Amino acid sequence: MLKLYKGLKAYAKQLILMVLLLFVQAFSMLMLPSMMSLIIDRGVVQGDMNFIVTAGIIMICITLAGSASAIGVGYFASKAAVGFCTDTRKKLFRHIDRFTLEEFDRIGTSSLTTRSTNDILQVQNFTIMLFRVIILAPIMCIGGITLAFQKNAELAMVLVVCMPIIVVFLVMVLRSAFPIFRSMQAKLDKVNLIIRENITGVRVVRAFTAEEREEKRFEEANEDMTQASTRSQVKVSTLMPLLMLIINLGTVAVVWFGGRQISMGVIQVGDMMALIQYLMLIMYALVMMSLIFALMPRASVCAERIVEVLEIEPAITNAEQPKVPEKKTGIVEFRDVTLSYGNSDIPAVSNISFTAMPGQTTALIGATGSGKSSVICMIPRLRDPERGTVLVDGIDVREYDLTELRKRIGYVPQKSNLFAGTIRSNIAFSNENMSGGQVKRAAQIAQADDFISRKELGYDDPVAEGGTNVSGGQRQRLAIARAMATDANIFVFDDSFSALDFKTDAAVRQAIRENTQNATVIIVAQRVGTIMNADKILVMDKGRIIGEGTHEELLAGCSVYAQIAKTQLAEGGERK
Amino acid sequence: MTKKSPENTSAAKRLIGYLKPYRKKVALLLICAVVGVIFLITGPRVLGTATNVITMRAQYNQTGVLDLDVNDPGLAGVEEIRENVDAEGNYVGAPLNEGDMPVLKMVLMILVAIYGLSALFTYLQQKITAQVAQRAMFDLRENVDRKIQRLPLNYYDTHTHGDVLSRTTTDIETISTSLQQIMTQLLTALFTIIGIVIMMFTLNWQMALIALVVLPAALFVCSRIAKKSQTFFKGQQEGLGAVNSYVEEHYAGHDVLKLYGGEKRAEREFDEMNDTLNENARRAQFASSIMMPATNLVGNLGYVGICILGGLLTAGGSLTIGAIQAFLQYMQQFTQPIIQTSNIVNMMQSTLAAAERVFEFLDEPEIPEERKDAVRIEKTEGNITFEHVKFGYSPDRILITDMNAEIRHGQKVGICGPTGAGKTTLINLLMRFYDLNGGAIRIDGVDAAEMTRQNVRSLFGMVLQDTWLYSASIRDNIRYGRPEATDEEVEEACRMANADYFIRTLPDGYDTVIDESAGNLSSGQKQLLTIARAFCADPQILILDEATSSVDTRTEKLMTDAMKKLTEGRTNFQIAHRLSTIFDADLILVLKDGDLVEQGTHDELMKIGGVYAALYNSQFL
Repeated sequence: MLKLYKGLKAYAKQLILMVLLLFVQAFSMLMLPSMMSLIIDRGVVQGDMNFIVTAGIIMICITLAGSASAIGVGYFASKAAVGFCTDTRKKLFRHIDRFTLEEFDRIGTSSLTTRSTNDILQVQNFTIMLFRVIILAPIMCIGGITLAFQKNAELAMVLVVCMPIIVVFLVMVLRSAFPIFRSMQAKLDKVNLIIRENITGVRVVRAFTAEEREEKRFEEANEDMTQASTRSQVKVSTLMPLLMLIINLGTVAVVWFGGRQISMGVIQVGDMMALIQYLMLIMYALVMMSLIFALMPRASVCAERIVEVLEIEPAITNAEQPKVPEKKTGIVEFRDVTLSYGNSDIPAVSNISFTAMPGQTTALIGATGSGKSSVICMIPRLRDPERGTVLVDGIDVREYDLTELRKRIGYVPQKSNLFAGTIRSNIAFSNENMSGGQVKRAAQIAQADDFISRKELGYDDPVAEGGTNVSGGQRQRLAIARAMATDANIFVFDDSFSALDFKTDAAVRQAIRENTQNATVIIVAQRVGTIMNADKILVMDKGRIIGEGTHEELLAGCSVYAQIAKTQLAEGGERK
Repeated sequence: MTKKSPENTSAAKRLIGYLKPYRKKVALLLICAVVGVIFLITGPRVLGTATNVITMRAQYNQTGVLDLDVNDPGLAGVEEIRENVDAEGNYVGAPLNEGDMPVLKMVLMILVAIYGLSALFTYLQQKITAQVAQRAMFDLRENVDRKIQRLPLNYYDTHTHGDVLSRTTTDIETISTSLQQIMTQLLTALFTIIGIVIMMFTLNWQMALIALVVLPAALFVCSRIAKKSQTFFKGQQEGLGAVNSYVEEHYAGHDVLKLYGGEKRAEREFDEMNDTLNENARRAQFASSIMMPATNLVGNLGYVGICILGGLLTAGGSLTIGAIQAFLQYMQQFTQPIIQTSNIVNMMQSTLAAAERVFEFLDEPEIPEERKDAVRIEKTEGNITFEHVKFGYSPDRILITDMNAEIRHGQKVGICGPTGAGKTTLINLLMRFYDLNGGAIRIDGVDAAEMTRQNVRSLFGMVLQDTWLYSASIRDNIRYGRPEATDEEVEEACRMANADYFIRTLPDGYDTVIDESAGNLSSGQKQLLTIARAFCADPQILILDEATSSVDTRTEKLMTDAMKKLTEGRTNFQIAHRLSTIFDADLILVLKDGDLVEQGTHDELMKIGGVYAALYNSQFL
């Protein structure tokens, strides 16, 4: 939490002003009872009407000043806390922007989203609370007690005794309630989990006629949670009444001892009345402060989660002195490359060596988990190899400027993510100022022009967040078009034809070949039909290349390939 | 206060209806609230008396005379003094400075008792409220869960999971957190305000008038600020929502962003949204932060007013110092309930909106009741006939116009057609997830509509692509369809389904608990488990969905193998994405645009040269 709060430095000016105003606010709150006691002792008891009116006017001024400064505190506190959180969010987004697959895998996309939004909001709300309370409470305590001692030491002792009792008591109740709160959260999660399961699995539940069992399972969880939350609420219910009781008993003590002091003529009635009110003010300050401690655990967890992300150094950074190759040939070469994920002992791919030549199609095929995608994601440096080198145009990819490297590659990832905007903005993703002709040409290659033209607004038809309003096959074609719209001379397709029917698949591939005659094309696929015409096919199994050659060569020489080809292509043969 | 819409009122009424079963406790808590408040507001009054006693003593010590108004309400309860006042109003009792001040002691004892009782009753009220509110929420949750089981499948097909989930979880939580707060605070706050006003008027009407000015002024200021800050908070929420979906989209597509050099643009767009959010959030926070000082300002002005007016009145002799003190305390007690009330009024709006959404869900039409004279089939041969089946998801859009088919015991039926042709519709009808618009599906000659739904479904087993597993051990998941299955039977089912081996490699074997999204299992393993689940349930008729493409070849082989074993001797329906799986089917049903267009064996259909043949040929180029 403290680590994160270093960012508050930028708001030092606001914070200093806020603290000054807090002093004014505390001062005015404490001055009101003091003035009141003067009115009683000098005005009322001595019957001085003029004094009463003058003191009253001074009190009004104090009140106005106090409220104005309280509003000022609110202004600067919101400005600093919200601004600080805005900065943090910005910093976080930029930081995450530099993350590569590895870091995204480690934290998880949805968790990163939560941390960038909800967690920061929690910190924001807590921080405002903190600003407004944490400084005020000690000022009120110290100020109140000092004033009380000025009036009368014996009576002030009552305050001094009350304070620790309140603090101890607050800590006790909150301490015993926290564990229950936490277990309650777990129980609530369970209740919601069952509801979610019942909704997402409604077909299965009914198919197995398990409705009554599910109802029972839910009832048990519901009962469990209801009891836990009732317990915790009852515990919290003791807090306010008992606090009030302590304060009120403190008041009684003040009156008892005050009564004696007054009858002995040591102090006056107004002094006693002022003391009672100091007690009240101190109590409110302490209760507000206890709220901070109640909110702190949650907020500090959020802060830690944010700091955790900020402290992750992305594994892949730009080369310090980037090299630029002399020629844009398009040759991609792997030299004995090995890649492992995280702490896994077994490498995802090992000892990969091959060269993909311009004007040719190089294909990778193999079962899921055989490491095909892991191989190609090293070309644009989405991951870096553990050992070995990947070269593009004869230079190690790690020596490139990242932007420069990626400009050379038109990459279609397995998941065709689209972004909110229009169809045009998605195809022209690499260059906002792309000409309409170029967009259309790319769409034609991807066989997307047809369905785009049929849309109401054509190329300007809106795409929803994440591309959810576009069907799977269309999304894939738009992702292909996005790659085809770049000036790249290396094209990489990671299982990018899977959602297309056979006819479209073939048409797209043919169009790509025709339009990228001198480009290097690398295709990853599961369907033999997609890649059987490639110039070179690499067969992968358990992270290794176990076969290399053309379709015919592999059919004869690679048993794994022959097996895949048989199961996928034999379907006609058996019956015909 | 804001005007409520009729829906809101009825939602409020129904929500209150949930308290009805606990009306005794509600009555009790109301009594506790009233009693607690009475004690709470008597406190300052009695404290004022104590102060008066002290002042009188000081006066008596200085002058030797006590000048008293016998009817001073400040003396109420101090009989000892009242009884010892002579006709001129002079105190003639025992000297007050003697002994340990018996009168003051007595007053303070009363005060301690009052404070103690006030604390006790406040506690009781809060405790009972917690119990009642939590119980009422329990009932509401039960109703919602029961509703989930009773809604027709049509509801789930026409509403997104997100919508249903937010009604059944988020909305319920909103209600549950605020219901208790409303119940505890609103009543006490209102009682306190009323009580204080009454007390003030009985003490001194001129000063009470100050309170009467302050009260509406504070309420007005509060509700204005609350309203304003609500609109700002809505702005903050919207800004946050925009940032959230932007961030989500960009994190999900981060590789694309990098590959196509979109980082700079993303930063620019993000900054814009972030700045808007900053602006909205700052306004919202500021608006809500002035609520307290603004109300305090009004309250404090009242405080000052009482000091001045009270001082003048007391100096003039028509008011006691104790009364000023009581007034000052009342003024301080005033602000808290006012702020609470205006907060609660705001909270009520969102709570009622949530309640309305929940009640809307609870009001959805349910599945028609099962017929009382239902025919029961314990065991079926697995003969199924479709007789002039007519069906559409809505009566004005009939998809299946007139479907006839006859399936005999042990046959394999393939269902195929282009995506979106309505393959799942047939499952929906077979399982009676939906009812027909005409015709009948007969199982061993019995119209399925004449059986209970549960009876129909118990005859079928389903293995779908959507591998739903629930958070429990693997063992419990396998016996989901037959809870009475023994451990041996469960393991036997897994062996048949080729799942036994991988289950044993898991750290806890059969007792491994499946995570929420079953993230600890691969999708192939999950599919094997659903096959094992079907084995364990041992149904007489099966519905199978072909394996997804996300399964590697080895697992796929295990699955086809297991499916083959599972279908042996059972009538089975197979949904095919690749035609190779259904070449050998006894009957192939070809669907297009929701309706059955062709049926027959592979060879027969090829001869027709229609939809099926076209589909078949498109697989080979």
